Amino acid sequence: MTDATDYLPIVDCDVHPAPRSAAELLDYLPDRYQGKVGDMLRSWFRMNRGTGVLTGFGALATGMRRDAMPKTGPGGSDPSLMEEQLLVQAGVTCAILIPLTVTGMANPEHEAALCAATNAWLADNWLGKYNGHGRYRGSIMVCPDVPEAALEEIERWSKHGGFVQVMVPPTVRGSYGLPQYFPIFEAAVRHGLPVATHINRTPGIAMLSPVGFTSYYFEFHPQYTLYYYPHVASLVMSGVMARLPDLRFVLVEGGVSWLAPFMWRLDHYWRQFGSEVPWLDRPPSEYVRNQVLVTTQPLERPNRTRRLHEYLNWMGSERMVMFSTDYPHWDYDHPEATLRRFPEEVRTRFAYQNAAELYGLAGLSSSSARPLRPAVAG
Amino acid sequence: MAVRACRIEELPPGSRKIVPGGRFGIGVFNSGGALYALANRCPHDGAPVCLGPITGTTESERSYDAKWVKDGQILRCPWHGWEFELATGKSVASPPKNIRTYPVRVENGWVIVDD
Amino acid sequence: MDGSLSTIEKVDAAAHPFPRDQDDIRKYMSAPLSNLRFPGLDGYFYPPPSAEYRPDFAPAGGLPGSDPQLLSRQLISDGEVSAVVLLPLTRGLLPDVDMATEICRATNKWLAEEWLAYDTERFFGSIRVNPADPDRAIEEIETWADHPQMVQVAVPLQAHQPYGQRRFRPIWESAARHGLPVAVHADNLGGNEYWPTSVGYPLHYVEYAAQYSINYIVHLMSLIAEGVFEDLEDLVFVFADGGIDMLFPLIWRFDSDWRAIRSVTPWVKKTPVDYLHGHVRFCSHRFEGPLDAEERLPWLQAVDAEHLLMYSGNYPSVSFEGPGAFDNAPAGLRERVLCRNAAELYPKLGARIS
Repeated sequence: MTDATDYLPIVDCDVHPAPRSAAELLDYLPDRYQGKVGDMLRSWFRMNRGTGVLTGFGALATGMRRDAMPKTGPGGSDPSLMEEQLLVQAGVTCAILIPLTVTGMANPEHEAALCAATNAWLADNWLGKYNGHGRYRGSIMVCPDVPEAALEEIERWSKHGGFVQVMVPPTVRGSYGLPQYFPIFEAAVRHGLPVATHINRTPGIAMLSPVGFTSYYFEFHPQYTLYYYPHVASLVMSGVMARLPDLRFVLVEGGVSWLAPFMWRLDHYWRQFGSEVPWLDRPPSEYVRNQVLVTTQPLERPNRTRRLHEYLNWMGSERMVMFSTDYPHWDYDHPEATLRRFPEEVRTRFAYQNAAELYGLAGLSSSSARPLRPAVAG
Repeated sequence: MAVRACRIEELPPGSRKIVPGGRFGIGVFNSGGALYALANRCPHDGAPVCLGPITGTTESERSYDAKWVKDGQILRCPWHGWEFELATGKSVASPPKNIRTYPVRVENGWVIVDD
Repeated sequence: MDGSLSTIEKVDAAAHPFPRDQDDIRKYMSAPLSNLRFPGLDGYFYPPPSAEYRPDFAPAGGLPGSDPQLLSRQLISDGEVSAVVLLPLTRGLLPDVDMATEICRATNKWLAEEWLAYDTERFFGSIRVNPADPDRAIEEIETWADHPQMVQVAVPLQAHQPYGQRRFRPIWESAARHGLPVAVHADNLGGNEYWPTSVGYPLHYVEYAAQYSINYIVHLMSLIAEGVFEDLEDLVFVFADGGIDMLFPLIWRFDSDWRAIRSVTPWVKKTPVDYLHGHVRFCSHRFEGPLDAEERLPWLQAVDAEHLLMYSGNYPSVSFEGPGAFDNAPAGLRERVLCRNAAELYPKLGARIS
């Protein structure tokens, strides 16, 4: 039977719905892309036999939890299965959807086209038809290297109500403190939307580390962090965080505890060499603590969980961390296995409060927003 | 306590059945004629491990050397791919984190798992 | 203060000697390469907004860190250190492999003649090799391995391929065979390096400086993933720019993925974190770790400094700190960081100071 004390609302800040086919997605290409660009994309998807997602590394299985594969279509494409596995079995109350249909493209116009199609597709399907329960929220995908198109997408979808953040890839033509990206952050803030980043599927040079290409997926995957912290440093040191104090920057799937030593580094080096960036009116770590958030999956698992807690304390992580599962991917973090690893005093913050505050999700602690079944699994 | 899983005819070689039993259910496997029963719970994060593929694994003597071994003897968790020996529930990787196993026998044509 | 502090022999595990003059090593090079231009030691891609090196570490008319007598007085006589491991820099990833190798050769000769000869008891050195030239790197190791003061091999942090990858293996085998650790330290950006971060060139020096040393983690994961540590039991890598601060948050991620995908790289027999004690050391760096003095000891314990950390002053950098930085650590931890870890890693050095 349900027991009020067993119930912990959970906001899952990283869930990946997928179209059943490339055709389903490309049907949503806006008119202006329906000509040459649309033809090229259709043909390209056919060549790549699917959603056109490219990656040089082989993840586990097909990159998905084996038991999350629908009978037809890719993982994450079946709304009933997602509802059953995520909202019922895992006990998630509310899920923030991040489609991975946009690939880094050589021509940013193509990437912008994929963003436009994705946003329209998400609105119609997962924030529309499949959202009868009202538990899904979405991300406005933008291509920052086509600024006009990006701003247009933000304008168009910010009023929809179902989109709760702007999503940008970490692999752009520089770090996000560069002046050409400022209008995107400014527009997001103007519309009250956080900006999140999630690693994109790209081939080749975008996957280069500063000392070369790794050989194996299990080296590359932990190194997502290396794609995120330069943007954090850049947004702080270029003064974007200072100019936009309401900007919130969310790092998805890039790890949690590294922020503690990284914030210290930024402070140490700023103290010594900060004369170059006089527009900072406080130490870098304060901008990071106030304006950067991270999602938890895949959570670091030291043998003794206390070691993780040490780093969380050093970060001052109370308002910075938000739970996520990464459903339906293979490295999925199950709530039951993960939530208990958070320090007790911040568990409710991490499980839902930080996300509820960031994304404006009301009423999660009330019984009217209970999950379809209690969070504690039998 | 003995659990009647199924008739032996319903469990030909290469097949499996997930049956109620224990705390999390029990996966009963026929691998090349031998029967095994494992708790349907991965010691990692509690996944329904018995839903995973039966496959082989790799062993190595030096860098870049990978031999394919134990084909049909390894259960991989459907979530994070942890590898377990079907016969013993023991993890392939160290340190050991093993799946609980149960004795299984055939009696009067029924596959019986002793919980 | 604990009176026994002064009885520990202290080791500075990385000080960076410079030639008096940019081209001082040229006289150790052979023609025709000696007749060609190569980048100077002060060729910076990023102009620093303030001095990178302490002016009081420079002799009159010379670059900071270019006077053995001054270094000896500042680190040893005044600084209480008993032994110093000298790690000279080279000139980045020069596209001409022969030039890069020749610079390594000349640097080693220069180091031996002008530094190691200056103090045969307390100065120790690093054998610079060019990882892009494995055959001649091995020759260079063979040439210097038995020198009584050469205690390690040294390579740049910059690379075009992570150091676990197979083309480099023969170099590490040679180092291990001779009982020599391999130190990794950033040269200045002077050659054909990739951009300093995974997302391009940071705009500001402060971003570049704060982030660059973290790139060691790619080499470390590579050395583990390709079985280098599994195969070479005695091999130790020293990350001399630091980075112990970022280690565990990233290794823990690597540990989880290893267990899931183990079957792709079955030669990695252990959880990655379990390779650290036997195969990895870090030099300390003043710009890492908590700014709050009260958190310093818990942090040193959290990063397993007892087993993994060696004190280094990073002379002649503005980030220099003396061994007093560890005064407040408990005696056992202090002794390991200031002395034991280096003495055990570098037996020639350990024999001299005990």
